[in-house]
Amino acid sequence: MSHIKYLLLVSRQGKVRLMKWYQPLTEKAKTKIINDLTPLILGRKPKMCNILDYSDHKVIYRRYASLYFIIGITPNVDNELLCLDLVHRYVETMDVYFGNVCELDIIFNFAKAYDILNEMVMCDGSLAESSKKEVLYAVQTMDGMDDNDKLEKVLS
Amino acid sequence: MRDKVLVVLEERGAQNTRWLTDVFGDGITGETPIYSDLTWTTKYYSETFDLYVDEYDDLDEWIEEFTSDDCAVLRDALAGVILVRTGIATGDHHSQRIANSLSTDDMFLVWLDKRESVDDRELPLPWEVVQLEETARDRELNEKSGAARLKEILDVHTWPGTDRLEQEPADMDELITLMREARLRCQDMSDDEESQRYAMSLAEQIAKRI
Repeated sequence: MSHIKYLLLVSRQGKVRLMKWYQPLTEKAKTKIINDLTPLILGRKPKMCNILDYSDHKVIYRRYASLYFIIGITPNVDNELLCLDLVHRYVETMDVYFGNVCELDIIFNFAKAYDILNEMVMCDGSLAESSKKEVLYAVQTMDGMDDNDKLEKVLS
Repeated sequence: MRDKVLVVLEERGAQNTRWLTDVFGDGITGETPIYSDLTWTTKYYSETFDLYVDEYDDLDEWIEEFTSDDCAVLRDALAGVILVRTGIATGDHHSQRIANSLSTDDMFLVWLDKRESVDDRELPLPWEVVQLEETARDRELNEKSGAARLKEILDVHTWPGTDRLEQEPADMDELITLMREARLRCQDMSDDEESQRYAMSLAEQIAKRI
């Protein structure tokens, strides 16, 4: 694995909650992908396949409650099932961090959701860390450092 | 300002009353056409809104009136519409006519369906079909329907001027007094390890307050 092209998090109402691009694309191309994929994936029936061809690449998606996790991958390079598992691992990690994560948590703590993702996937789209425990440790350490910074700022 | 939620009922009955109360709270039964200054509170924000309740005998006639120029002011003030209906006709034009009359970018449109089995993807965006009653499948897949899903939709809606509940600003005098007392207490402690532990717990307490 794996060099994913992008990861989008879209709500049931078609609102993009998170987006991360791992390959350089123009704003126009990004907008086109979002505008094409949102109605396409939201309109799919529950028993339809979670992997589909789109443009020159493949798209895999998985729905968790009211949120759709969408990943663009390179055919014959990336493993579709591994990507589905990556999504599941990401959701599980957020679930532990936020405590039963919901869409509202992601809206109001989007920076933290990006931090968790950044610990799992590197900026070129390759998998950086698959251990939930390690990811949570890194994010909680960041939180601790952030708290200390705030404290030092006040004390100074 | 888009701070009004419009509920459109098929008929005013016991079933309607129950979900309205579940979603909007005690006393919201749908018998009054306007409920003003209701508060929607989540762990992140609190927002005041008005709830308008209307009903229709003939949906075509209701849509005719709703999409007319006379209702332009109302349409511009809506945060969302919840339309109660049993079933969706093939090639449904009702949903399309309502959506076309509204600026749907910053509002939610919910088709609350009373059928026993409903696919939430039956209508294209911006509509979401919500099943009124929770089914065994929903429970199994941990998916929300009915009042629970409606609450979720209202939670994640971008209300105008929604401000995250502000944390009370830290009272500096109180913090300084706390630190002075802690310093005196630390001086009295003979055990280094104990004073270190105390200092760390105090630092955490202060960090939480700021």
